[in-house]
Amino acid sequence: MSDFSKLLSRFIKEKKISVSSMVEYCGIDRSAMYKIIKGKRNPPSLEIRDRISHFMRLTPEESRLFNQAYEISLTGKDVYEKRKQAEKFILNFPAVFQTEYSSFCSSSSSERPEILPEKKCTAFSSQNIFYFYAQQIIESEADSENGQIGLLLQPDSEFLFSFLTSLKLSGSPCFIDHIFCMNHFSKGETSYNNLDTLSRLLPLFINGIHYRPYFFYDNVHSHYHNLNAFSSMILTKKYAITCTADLKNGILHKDPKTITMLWKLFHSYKAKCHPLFYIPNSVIEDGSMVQKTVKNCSELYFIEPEPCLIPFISESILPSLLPEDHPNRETMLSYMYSYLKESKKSFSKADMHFYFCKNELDRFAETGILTELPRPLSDTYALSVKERIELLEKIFNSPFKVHYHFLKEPFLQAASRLRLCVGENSMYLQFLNNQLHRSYLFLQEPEIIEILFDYLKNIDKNTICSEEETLAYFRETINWLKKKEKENEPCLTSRKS
Amino acid sequence: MSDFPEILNRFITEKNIHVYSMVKYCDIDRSTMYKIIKGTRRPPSEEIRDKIAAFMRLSPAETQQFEHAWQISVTGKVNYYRRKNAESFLLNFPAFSDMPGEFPGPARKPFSSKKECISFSDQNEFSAFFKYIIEQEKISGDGQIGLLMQPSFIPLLRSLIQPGLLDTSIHIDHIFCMENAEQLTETNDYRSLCYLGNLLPLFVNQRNYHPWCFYDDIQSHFCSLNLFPVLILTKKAVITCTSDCTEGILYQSPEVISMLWNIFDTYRSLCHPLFQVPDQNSICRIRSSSSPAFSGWSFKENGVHCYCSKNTVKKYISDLRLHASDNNLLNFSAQHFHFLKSPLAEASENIQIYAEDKNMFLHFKNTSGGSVYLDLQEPRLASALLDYIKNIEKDFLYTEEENIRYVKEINQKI
Repeated sequence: MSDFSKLLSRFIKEKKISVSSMVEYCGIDRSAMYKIIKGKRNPPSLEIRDRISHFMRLTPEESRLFNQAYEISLTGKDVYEKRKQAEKFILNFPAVFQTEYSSFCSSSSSERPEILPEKKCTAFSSQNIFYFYAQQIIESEADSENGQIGLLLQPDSEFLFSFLTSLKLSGSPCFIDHIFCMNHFSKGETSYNNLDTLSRLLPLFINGIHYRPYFFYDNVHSHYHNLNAFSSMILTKKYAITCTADLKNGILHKDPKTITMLWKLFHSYKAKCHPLFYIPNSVIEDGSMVQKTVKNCSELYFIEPEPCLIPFISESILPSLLPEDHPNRETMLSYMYSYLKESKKSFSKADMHFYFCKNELDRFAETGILTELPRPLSDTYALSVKERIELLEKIFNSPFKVHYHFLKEPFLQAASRLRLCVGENSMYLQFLNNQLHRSYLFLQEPEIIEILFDYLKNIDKNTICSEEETLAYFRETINWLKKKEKENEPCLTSRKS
Repeated sequence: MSDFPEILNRFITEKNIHVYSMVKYCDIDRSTMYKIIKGTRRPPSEEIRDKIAAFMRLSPAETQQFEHAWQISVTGKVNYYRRKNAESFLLNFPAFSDMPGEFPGPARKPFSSKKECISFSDQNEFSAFFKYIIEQEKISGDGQIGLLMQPSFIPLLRSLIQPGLLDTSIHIDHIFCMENAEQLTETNDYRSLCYLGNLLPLFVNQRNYHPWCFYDDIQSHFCSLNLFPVLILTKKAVITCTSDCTEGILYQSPEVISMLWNIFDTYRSLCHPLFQVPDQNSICRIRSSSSPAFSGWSFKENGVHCYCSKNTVKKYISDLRLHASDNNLLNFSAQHFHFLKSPLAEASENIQIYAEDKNMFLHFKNTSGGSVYLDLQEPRLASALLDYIKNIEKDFLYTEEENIRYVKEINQKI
């Protein structure tokens, strides 16, 4: 029996529904209705579902449950759970948990030591003391020249990760290498999901730390918990903490020999792991990775603030985008030409679906600034009204397989913080860190890619505008721009006013 | 694809066998033959197997391979290897099931014995420290040792039974993990049976030893990039180290030691004891003269079935004469006796097993000749042993006629 039919039977019983009247109201076959109730056939169409729901006079909460059960039965529980995870991941980006951390700082625990002990090894058996030690040794490492921190633990501790996210850096770079375990069970085990893990790690990049996560596959629960001695560790150049997975019992080390041994062990483990991300280091590397991602897929989904217009840019504009004093201007320019060419090629090969914000299109129409370009380029040149019109008109007679959709709530907020591109087998994330530097992360973990791809492919149609609606607005925008052009009015006034 | 079709396919290709002629020769249905080759049905009967082998003109070595693969497919892979492991456990007892390795070198005192923590990064150092802390524990008297590690590290277990290193005054608690799934290791071993073979020598050598177990996936729990899953505790020192005992730290700071003992005790309270020592009453009941329990390997199922050596039978029958009563003799004829050939015959004299209801009792002699009785509490381990006993291969057993002839012989002699 499916979730849907279970709930339906319950409502029928509780509300003393006369099934034969309901059959008449819904206008379907009597035996079909009984099959729906017994879960012997697939859930009915949306229309019938709503009729049933209406006939049973469901409260808002009841109809939410009813629709949810309907969706679960339609997609299967496993897929449903995964899509929920993906939704949570996108909507909550970047998940920063300030609460627990600050509450710890303000609490004056009597058992908390004042300073780090001088002894070579010090045992502890409470989480508070662990947090104190961890905080102290990480802070002193971040203050030191070329900080090196090693983490061998699951990103479960909200305290530890929100602390790392808000860690103040001294200006000297601080490297954090983190080894953790990804669950290799995709089915059945919903208590531990890998997307949650990912959302806990990402805020560290926003903080501008040189953070490098590495992962291996295993069963997280048996690996870390279940009567294991010391499975977790924090390492700095001077200190080490070895402890149980719940971070309650452990030992703080200050013995140089021990620390050398532990670092060696850490490195040997790291060598057996996969990096979670590929992180490019320059604009050119960013670009070639983006193209590689796009090239490998036949179907791509994007969530980003602005509409993607790059492939419609005409080559003649490129030189004006690049500042006169740009270092290696010639090389960069020739790279831009080839990038544009490549983009056009891939745009005609793969199906591209863009989910973005309407107001960013307005903004482009008003200012002519292509915010999707990386920093020095987007600041240099604003397209003239005429150029804007030309560019937008190309969309309507292009050979490309592009599909534009405006996002609706609740995604508008999320899209302003996160750019996400997912294809069948590769993906990247892009966001601004707190130094306003644009970071690209190319995710390397297949299951996460699969979950996000499936989610965006099957995105709830109520949260986006249809392609026709969106294109109609593009037309309106062009007309508005043409009017402005005719009036010879500089587009300084906002479009809405 | 199971092993049998794999090897059959290999021979067919290698030897250019014409399947159609083989079908004719074996006189079976064409489609059945193809199913056998593709592994979509159970392996054929022994008769058909031998016909196939004859048709393919297998060499003796090939025949052996072929029959072996057939046996595995018929029995099921897990069953087959589990029985093999049970056999080697019984045959090896009381030696460790696999031979290699003693710790190299003598105990070594850490260069500064007062140091709170000393790290090490090779197995030699580990073994030196390990021996050192065990020796210290013996000197202190009334010692206590805690082990949180898998009983697969033979050198360490071996050093625990080294003569003179430990005695019964030292209480050893050992926590380890049992596989939670019915599965074989990469080397086709049934791990729990190997563990049993590794632990029993501690009882044989009269250590005050108490194993405890919990269930999990051993590989992910204990290995694969785990930091320090091993704990070795004494009252004065603790070692934490990696699963291969290569990298780790020796602690001598009292506060660290007491914290780690706390963890150990908490964990132990979450485990099951692997054995229970049966009380005198139940031992007496089982040993009562009218029952053949503890004569070799026996189990109760519509009467007692007993697998034992001829020697044991002889002794048993003469014992019955001592308590001469017709009832007993009548009783004897009602028992199901099976006489074992060498080497199982000898093995059944080294360790006796008796299974009744849900209990399995083990009985063997320790080094000073005393009897040790253990009630095995782990159900799957018990059923693995029982499954072996119930399925002892015919080659290891005397035939019914041979049995009768032997019993008559003895009767006449007495």
